[in-house]
Amino acid sequence: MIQQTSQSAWRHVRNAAFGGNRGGSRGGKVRVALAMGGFGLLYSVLAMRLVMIGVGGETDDKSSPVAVSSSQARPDITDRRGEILATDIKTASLFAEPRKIVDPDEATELLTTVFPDMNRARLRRQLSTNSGFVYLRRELTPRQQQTVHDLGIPGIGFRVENKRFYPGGATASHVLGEVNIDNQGIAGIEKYIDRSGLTDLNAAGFDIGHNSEPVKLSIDLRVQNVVRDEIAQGLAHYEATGAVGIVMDVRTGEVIAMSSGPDYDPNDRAQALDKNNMNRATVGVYEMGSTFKTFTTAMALDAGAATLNSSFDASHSLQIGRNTIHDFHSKGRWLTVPEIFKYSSNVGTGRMVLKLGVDKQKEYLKRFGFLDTLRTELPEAGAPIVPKAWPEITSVTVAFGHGISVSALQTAAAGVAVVNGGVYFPPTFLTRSQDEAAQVGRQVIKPETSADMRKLLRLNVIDGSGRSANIPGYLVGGKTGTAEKVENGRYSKTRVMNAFLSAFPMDKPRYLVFTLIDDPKNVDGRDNQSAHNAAPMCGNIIRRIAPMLDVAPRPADQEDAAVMAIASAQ
Amino acid sequence: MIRWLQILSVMAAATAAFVVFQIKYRAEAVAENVAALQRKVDQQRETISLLNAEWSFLKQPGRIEGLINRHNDQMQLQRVDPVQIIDPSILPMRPAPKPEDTAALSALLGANGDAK
Repeated sequence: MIQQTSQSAWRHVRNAAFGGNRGGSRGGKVRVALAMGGFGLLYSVLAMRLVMIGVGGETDDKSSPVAVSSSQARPDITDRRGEILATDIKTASLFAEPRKIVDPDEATELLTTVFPDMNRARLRRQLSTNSGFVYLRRELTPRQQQTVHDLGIPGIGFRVENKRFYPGGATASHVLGEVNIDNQGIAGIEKYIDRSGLTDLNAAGFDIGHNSEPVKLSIDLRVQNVVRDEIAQGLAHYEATGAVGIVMDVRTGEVIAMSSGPDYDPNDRAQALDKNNMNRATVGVYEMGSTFKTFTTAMALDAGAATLNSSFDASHSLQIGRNTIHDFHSKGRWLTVPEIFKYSSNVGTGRMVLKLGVDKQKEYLKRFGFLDTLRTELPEAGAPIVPKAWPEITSVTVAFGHGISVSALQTAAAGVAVVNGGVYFPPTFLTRSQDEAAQVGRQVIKPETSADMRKLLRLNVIDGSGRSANIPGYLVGGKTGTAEKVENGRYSKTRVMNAFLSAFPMDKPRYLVFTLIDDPKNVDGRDNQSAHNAAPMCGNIIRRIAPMLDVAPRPADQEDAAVMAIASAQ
Repeated sequence: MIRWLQILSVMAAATAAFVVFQIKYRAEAVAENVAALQRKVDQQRETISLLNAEWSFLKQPGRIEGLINRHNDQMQLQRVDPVQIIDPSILPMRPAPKPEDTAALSALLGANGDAK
């Protein structure tokens, strides 16, 4: 049948083209051959094309049927053990195409049955315009989406968008930061992720969403939860205005946990804007008080201005020009370096730094990173407040932590160098192996100085102001600090800012714990000295985190005997 | 001869057209199948990430702590005291038995052995 029609068609064509039935003539044959060759060529082209399509697999662009979302996908954030700290979940946003809406009044009525809080007049105005697209409500719950869908209003639709979800709520809020409604990082690690290239890729049209590797932080969620819990309890118990807890690995400089209270739930964006919820750990700068004597003593020992056996005159106040430095609990005699440290003598520390000299002091402060703004992955960084001129009196007050304001993380990072054998690691919130740490670490004090400091810190916890942080078995060492707060340009006699810098276990330190509490009140019938709030908070943290961090408790051993020996040596 | 060639080429053209359409429809069906599978994969991936988010929410240490505090009347859980954690190597070895005990034991065993 096909053959017949084709043949007759062919005859017609031949007649039309060559003017009658002249098959058999010579010229006709050539022409037919030519035509056949032409068609043959055509078919071979078709065949080749077929093969090309078959082999090359020219694909249809049907592979992405999901509506393109306008808010960018972000990589997950996990803690060092792979627990999710932040992830994307899909939510629907409600939009309208007012041009396609038949009856704006009816649509308004129907929509307000689902969203009673919507402004009717405004909604009606929005729907009555002739515009092509308008967002009505973002981040619907699945139930709302279903209800609106069932209403079946023409011109109303949904768009799938990514919403950031933080399963831990406020647990690690100040580290993670937050995102805005378009899923762009605006604070913390979220902003760091954007700055390190995510936004560029998205802008260039790459959806790196679900395929991208999660960002792994150095934070340990379990430890973070403990620190946050103790900080929150401390805030409430001591009726303080703010508190900070930081845990660092002294072998790498990784931040294992960092909490600043009061904090906020990053799932609720409005909370983060509250000024009172600022990041006190990296943005706030404080006078660290006696905690700073740790660094002063370390530099004096390191520069040879003092040894553990030297003594300084602390029998009476220290007179410099018109200023007098007093001791809180004066012993009225010469004190050895361990005694100065244990009794937290301002006079003794002052004399030590005078012997060291201003230039050396500044050099060491610079090495410990106290004179520059500390840059980490977090965009939030407070610049230290450093005295402009350094007369002797400034040098002496800085020695015991007044007149210089530094951030909590800065203090913790310097503390790491004091206890770990003298290596300063720039703190990081991303994971870092010991090999990587060795690349960025720099020796700031001698290993022997660090060993001496460990003994002094341990002594202070066994027999000094840090007793309430002495968790049996973990060889905790630490130094308290109580700084008077500045009120109306004068140091207040009643309001204080307390810190406690500690590390454990002191024979071979693994972790540093730093706590800070702003304006604690006198509770439990005790005064508001650091030994009664910052130190016990620190002790509670260590008691709870040490087993998680695989630090085995030990029976009191010879290490402590050596520590006690330096205390009694006069 | 030419007539046969004509018939043959026309037949070839017809078959080619038929086969091309066959392939085209099959390709379309495959593409649709791919798209459907892709949709399914995307959906499942979304579900997985949602379940992951829920799982990590459910096992938040803070949440579990709250649950424990609420039900601790029944559970009676307590915090581990550091002194409760020790290395097995620190445990003392079983003390060597005293000579009189060994003697008594072997006497007993000997008596039993005889009885059997």
